[in-house]
Amino acid sequence: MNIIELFVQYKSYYLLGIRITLLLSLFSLVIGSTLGAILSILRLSKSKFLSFISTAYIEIVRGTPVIVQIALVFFGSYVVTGVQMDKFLSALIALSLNCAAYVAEIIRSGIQSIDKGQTEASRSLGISSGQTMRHIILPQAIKNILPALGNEFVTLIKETSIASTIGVADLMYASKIVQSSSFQPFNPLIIVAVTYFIITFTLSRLIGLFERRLAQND
Amino acid sequence: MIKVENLNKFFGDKHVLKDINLQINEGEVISLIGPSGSGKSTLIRCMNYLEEPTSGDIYIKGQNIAKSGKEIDKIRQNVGMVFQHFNLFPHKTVLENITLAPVLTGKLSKKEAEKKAIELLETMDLLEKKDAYPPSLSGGQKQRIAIARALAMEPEIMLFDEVTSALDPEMIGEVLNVMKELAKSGMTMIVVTHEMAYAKQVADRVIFMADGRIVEENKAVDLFENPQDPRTKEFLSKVLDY
Repeated sequence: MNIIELFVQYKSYYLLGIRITLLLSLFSLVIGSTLGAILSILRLSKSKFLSFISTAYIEIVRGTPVIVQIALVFFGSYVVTGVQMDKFLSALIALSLNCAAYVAEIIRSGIQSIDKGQTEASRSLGISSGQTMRHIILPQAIKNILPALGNEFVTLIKETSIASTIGVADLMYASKIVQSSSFQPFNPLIIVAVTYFIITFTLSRLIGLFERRLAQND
Repeated sequence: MIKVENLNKFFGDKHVLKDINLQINEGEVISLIGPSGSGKSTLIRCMNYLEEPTSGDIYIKGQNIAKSGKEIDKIRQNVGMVFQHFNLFPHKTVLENITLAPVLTGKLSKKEAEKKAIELLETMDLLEKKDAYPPSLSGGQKQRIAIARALAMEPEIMLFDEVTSALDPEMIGEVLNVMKELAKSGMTMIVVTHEMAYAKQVADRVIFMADGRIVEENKAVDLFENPQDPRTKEFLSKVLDY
C-alpha cells in the first residue's frame, strides 16, 4: 500500500487529528500570547516582587520539558482535585502556560531593544508612561517581536504533538493508530511529517507577509 | 523659576552630584560647562526628573518635582528637553514627531498642533521635510526638529544636553543659531555644552562644574576672562587654547 492509499484509507483519523492539532495550536497560541504579554509587563514592572514572580515563572517553565509539564497538569489535576481533567483541556493548559513563558521573553526583549532615549524623549515631553509604551515603544518593538513570535508559534504547533502522550487524539496520535492498525511503521510517519510541515510552512509564510507589510511602512 | 537645594545623586557607590545648590531666574540663559564626568548632564536630567535625585529638592516654579507624583507629566510639559542623540521617533514623520506630544497630552487639537508644527518648521527652515522620516535627515536637521518638537509644547524652560556634541562640525552652526534666537526670545534655558564660544556669547551666567560640584559660577564674560578657581583656570586653558 503506498502512502497516498494509506492516507485515503485512514483519512478520517488523519482529518480528526489535524482538526485537534489545529484547535490545540490555535487556542494555546491565543491564550499563551495573552498570558505572555501580561507576564512581560510584570517582568518589566518597577515592582521587584511582580518582576521576581514573573522571572521565576519564566525560568521554571523554560527549564523543564513540555512532556513533563503536560503530564504534570494531566496527572496533577487528578491528585489535587480528585477529578480527572479532560485530556484536551490538560494539554491546552500546559501548552498555553508553556507558550506564555516564551512569548513573555520575546516581548520583553523586543521592548528592551528599543533605545532608552526614545522613552526619555517621550516622557520629557510630558507624555505619560502608558502612552509612551503605546505610541512610541510598541510600534517600534513589534518589528523585533514579530519574527521571534513567528518562530515561537511554529515551535508551539510542533510541540502540540506531545499531547498525544496523554492520549489527546491529535495528528501524532492518529499516526500512531495508523501505524499499529496498518502494520506499517514508516509511511504513516511520512504523512504526519508532511502534514505538520504544511501547517507550519503556511504559518511562517503568513507571518513573513505580515512582516513585509510592516516594513513597507518605514 | 528653578531652584535646586542640596541635591545629591549617587549611581551605586558613585557620588556624581554633591550638594548642588542653584537658583535660575525666569528668562535666564545658563551654560553648564566642565570636564566630562563632572555631573553636568546628570544635573539637568534631574531637573525634569529623568534622573531621580538621591536626596535634596528641585523646585520648578515653586513646585517640588520629587513630590509631584502623577503631576510630573504636567511639569514636564513645561520643561522641554533636547538630547545629544536627538531621540526623534523614527517611525513617525517629522510633522508627527512635532504634533505627537501636544495632541496626546490634550494641549492642542490635531489641527492646531499641525498649524503650530508648520509654523515651527518654517522658522527652522525645514518645512519641506515635514513628511520625511527622521532617519533620512542630517544630524543638524534632526536636532533642529528635536528643538521644534520640544517647543511645540510651548514650554517656559528648555534644557539642552550637549546638543551639538554628536553633530558634524559644519552642522553645529545651524543648531546654535536656532538656540541663539530662542535665547533672544526670552526663553529660560539651561545649556550643557562644550561650545565655549557659544557659552560666552549667549549665556547670561556660566556655571563650571567639576567632580560633581559647582566649582564656580559667574557672568559669562567674567568667568571666561577672569576665572577664580584653579580648576576653572585649568579647564579653560585646555579648552580655549587650541
